[in-house]
Amino acid sequence: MEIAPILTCGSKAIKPKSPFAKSNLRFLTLFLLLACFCQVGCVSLRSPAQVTGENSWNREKDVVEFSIGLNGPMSADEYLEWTQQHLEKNQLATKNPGFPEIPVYEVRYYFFSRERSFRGYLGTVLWRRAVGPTGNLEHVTTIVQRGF
Amino acid sequence: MPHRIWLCWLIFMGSGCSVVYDHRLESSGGVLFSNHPQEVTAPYMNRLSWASEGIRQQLPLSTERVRPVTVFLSGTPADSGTVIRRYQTGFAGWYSSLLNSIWLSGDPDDDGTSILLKSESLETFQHELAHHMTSNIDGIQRRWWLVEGIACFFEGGFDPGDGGFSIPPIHLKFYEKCRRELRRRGRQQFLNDLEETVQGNYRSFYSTDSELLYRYALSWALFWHLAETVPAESDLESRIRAISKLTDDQVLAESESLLDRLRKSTTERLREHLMNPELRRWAVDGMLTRYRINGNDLLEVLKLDLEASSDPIWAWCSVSKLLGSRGIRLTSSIRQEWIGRFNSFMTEATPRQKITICEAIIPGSRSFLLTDSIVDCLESTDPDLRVVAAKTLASISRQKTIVSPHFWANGDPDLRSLEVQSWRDYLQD
Repeated sequence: MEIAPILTCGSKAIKPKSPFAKSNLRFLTLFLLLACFCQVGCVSLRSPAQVTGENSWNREKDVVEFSIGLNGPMSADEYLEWTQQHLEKNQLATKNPGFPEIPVYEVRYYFFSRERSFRGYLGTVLWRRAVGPTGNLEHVTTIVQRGF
Repeated sequence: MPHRIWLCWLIFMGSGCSVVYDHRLESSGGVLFSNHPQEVTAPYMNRLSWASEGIRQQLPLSTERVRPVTVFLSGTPADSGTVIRRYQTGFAGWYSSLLNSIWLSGDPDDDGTSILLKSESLETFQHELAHHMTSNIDGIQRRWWLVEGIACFFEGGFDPGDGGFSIPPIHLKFYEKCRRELRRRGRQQFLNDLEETVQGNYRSFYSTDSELLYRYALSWALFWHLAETVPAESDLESRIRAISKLTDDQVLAESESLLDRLRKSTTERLREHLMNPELRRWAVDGMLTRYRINGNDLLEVLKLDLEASSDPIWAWCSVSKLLGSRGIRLTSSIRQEWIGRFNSFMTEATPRQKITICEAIIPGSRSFLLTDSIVDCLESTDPDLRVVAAKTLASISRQKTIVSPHFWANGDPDLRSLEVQSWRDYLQD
């Protein structure tokens, strides 16, 4: 049975000649299809983690801490992105929830999972005000305990 | 081909490191390359000069041909906005005799402070530096227990108070580890472990299993024991040379007598040296890490140090640690008396002295007894002292405060006064 050329380079088709090359091509086809399927499959399986709970308190007058419950771990970038959106949404750069007259110096986010599959601490994201009177809150560190 | 590699390495060392790293610092002990800020590199530069010179004085002949070392202080600088994965190694250090260099790497901790600033990291640096300074001693090459035993021995080197370099009578961590493992495993297993450590090759010795620290402790204990018992001249260098000439069988023949020397508890060992002016500070520092210690005796020793020393800061830092420690017992009248003495010293101390003391205070509610003096520091004219005092207060009190360094260094004086007043009101209540 003739194997149809599956790899093309521009308009020129590459047609395998030897039986060994033909069987290799068959394997390659299967491999590529499998790789594509895995990639799509994994992406569809890995839905973004959902926030299941949120708690906040002032550790100091100008240090605010948030405990965030998740249904699973996130990547380091996702933790950072989530906290950035949370900071902007709650206007923490200008508003201190516990002591309105004092500007926030530091914001700490602690992420936890309370799911059956994994319970415990996932990571921390630390934001701190930059030096100077008009300094913005800047990302200091993201500490990932579990994740990918 | 090897010449080309060496040439590339030399070019890289000569110029490349400066391209990769932001800072190039030089001292008599060597060169340090780093991306970390000055507050992180300064303790390493001081340790490099002090420990190199100290080991050189202990081993003048063996260190004669030792060249300055190149130190790479690597890892993620604090406040750099990067990701730290806790399941990866946070701190590491090693020495390469081939490249004549020490490499140390440290990430920031949960507070965004570099792990390189912790005293354990500086001890590791001293350990690696000891490897470098002792790398020319004949007879230690490829005898890994001896290589590590000597480095662990010098790792404990401390300043007795005059800027010198003294070797302590025991290495607290390794002495404790040996005693614990001896109790847990029994005499025979401990002797078997000693034999395995002495006869182990590179792969078995440095295998990164849970026993690596134990092998270091065994190596230190053997070397420490032999350094005391080997028949040789009185100086340390001659004794090290005599030990390096011993065969493995001769070394292991001393194992039984080592077990006898491990009988005394760590606290007993420390107490023996409390009255020795040269070892007093080492003994007190060690006692402060123990539990269920009689603090009244320690305060008497500190009183002696205050009378004898021209620099009272070490003693007052120790007093503050002692008053704030949960493991130390004090009678309440003596506690009150020393809180009074501490407060009166703090009224006379310079801002620099106050900063050192504030930084030494143990975080926790026990140190709350010292709050009055620290609140006074919030009104200092020195902005650095105000910043440090606010940080210390936050670590010892449940009373919420403002910790922003900008607020305490350059903030509105009226707002600062308001915050100080809120502390005074809280203390009065």
